[in-house]
Amino acid sequence: MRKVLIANRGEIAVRIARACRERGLGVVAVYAGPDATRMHVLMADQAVRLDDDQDAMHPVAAYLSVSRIIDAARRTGADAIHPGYGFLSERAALAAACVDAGITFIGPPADVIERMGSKIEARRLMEAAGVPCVPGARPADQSLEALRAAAAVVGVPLIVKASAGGGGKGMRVVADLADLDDALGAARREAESAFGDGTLYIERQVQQPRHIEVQVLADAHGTTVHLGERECSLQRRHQKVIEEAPSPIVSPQLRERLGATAVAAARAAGYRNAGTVEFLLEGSADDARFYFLEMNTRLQVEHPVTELVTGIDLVQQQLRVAEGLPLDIAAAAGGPRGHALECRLYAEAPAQGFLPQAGPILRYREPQGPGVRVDSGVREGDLVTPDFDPLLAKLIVHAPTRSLALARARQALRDYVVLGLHTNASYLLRVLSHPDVEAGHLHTHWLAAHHEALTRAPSEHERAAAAAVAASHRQLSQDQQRSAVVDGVARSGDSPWRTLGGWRG
Amino acid sequence: MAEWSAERRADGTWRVAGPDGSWRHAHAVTDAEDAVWVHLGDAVVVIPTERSVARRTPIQGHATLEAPMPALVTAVLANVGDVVEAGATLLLLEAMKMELPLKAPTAGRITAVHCAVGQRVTPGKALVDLSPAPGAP
Repeated sequence: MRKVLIANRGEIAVRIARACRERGLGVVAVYAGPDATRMHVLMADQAVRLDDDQDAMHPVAAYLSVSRIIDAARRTGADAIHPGYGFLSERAALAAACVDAGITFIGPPADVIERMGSKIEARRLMEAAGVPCVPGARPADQSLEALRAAAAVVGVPLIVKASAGGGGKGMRVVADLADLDDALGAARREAESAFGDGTLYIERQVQQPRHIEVQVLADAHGTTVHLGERECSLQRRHQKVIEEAPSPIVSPQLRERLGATAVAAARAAGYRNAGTVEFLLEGSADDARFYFLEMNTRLQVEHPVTELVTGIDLVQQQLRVAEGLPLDIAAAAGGPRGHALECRLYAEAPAQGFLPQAGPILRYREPQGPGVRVDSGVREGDLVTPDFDPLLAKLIVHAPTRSLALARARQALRDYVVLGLHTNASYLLRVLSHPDVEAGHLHTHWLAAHHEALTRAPSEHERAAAAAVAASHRQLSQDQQRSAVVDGVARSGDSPWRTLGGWRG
Repeated sequence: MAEWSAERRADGTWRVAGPDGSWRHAHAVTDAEDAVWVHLGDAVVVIPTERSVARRTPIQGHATLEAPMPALVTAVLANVGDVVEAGATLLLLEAMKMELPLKAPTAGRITAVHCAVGQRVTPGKALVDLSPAPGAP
């Protein structure tokens, strides 16, 4: 491998580009729509535009075009493609097209992506490998009568799910069998329109479950290992918001059981490269029961928390595996060290039903200090557009204990300045300050259950203080009000030292 | 109650002191609409100017529905002359991969549609004019 095309944008494209540079690999960026001047493009050696002025194509569709990505790799002489997460990362078509074009796909083989992408197929495979799955039924006969009979056997509360589903689409909770027909109809319509496949299955609903996932790595030399768990129970509408490693309730014994199960799952799938096995967990410590949920055949958004507690750079390992080298994971021996937390900074307004926000970033200051890492795809002056997922950046902290990590994350969030569009920063701060979160009493519905307390308006004191600042600020000249220039020294993000990007020719 | 007072610091940020003796470190910037965004650590507060508040006051007897954010118009479900109920979905907008329905705030008659499917709209762009039905709230 000499040159890697990164088929992604935003913070993850930036993070992967850094890892490539550390290995001396060339970096090719791709972009579409409003992204020409974004960070991931400016820091690459070369950049290829995926759309053109004649196209009325939505920029997301351009990033999702396998043929345009392959064509961009051919034109720039890139001999490998890293898909990041989202976009094409779990489309078997890209992995297959890479093989056809003689390009290395930095991820698992196409047939593995295909197999794990079908929830029903994945469950069958896992059950055959002895991996526990949520009790449920997957009738081959998809008639209403057969699904009704299956539901009666599983019992309520149950969840109707789409085989091709993801992100909560095609999913309905049924608490009373009288509501079953409506739920089946709605789930099928949603699944057909979202995935073009209305195949449904039924699972028992696990009460107040935790979302625990295990990072796995596998190389081409027969080594498959796990790097411990991440707790991702703080989610909102199936979107993770805060993740941590290790989980506050996983004991070393439970970690061994989870890890061994995840490794068995990865082996059964014929896995290679970095992947994640997701579980629902009920109970705690040695009484905990866990069930296979799905396998993500890519790098996860929340991979940094595992990196911080294991000392393993997961993207470097992905590149090693893709080059045919054995894993180099000696640093992970002895289990997790300390505690890591990740907060996802979204451009959204929690007080307005988490409405995604767009607009210019007028002021941007990242927090700094020991154990503070920011994986960001934006800078001061960037215009955030409504075309893409609203994730701006990830704040990741590492500290010796969970309580110190929480304190570190809270302080870093207070120090994180984003002005010009609303973010969820103060929402994250309230989540991390809640007694339940401090005690580690989490489940996947916790955020929804505490919505009111987490989205309160600014206090009287805060409004009074802000009004005083605004009144004084308005006394400044127009230029001073809008830029960060102080005494003639530019302190905004457009200093040449911040925009230079890579030096390599 | 005594006032809060703000003092500019050498780095262009603010120190704002309260009547109770507490103080906070603040960042402030003015946006294109003349609103001042203030970062106080625990919260971000946007202080609009009187001008930008006035701009949003609805005109009596006639409602113009504006785009709440930059978005793509994915469906136009209302035609000029349609009589709609309060809460009827008039347009579908797509932003950040989310579908945002634009709903009628009151019952009434559609008097104009200012956008088309596939059009990209910016915040404040007038999308639909609605003449409220007599007696509508």
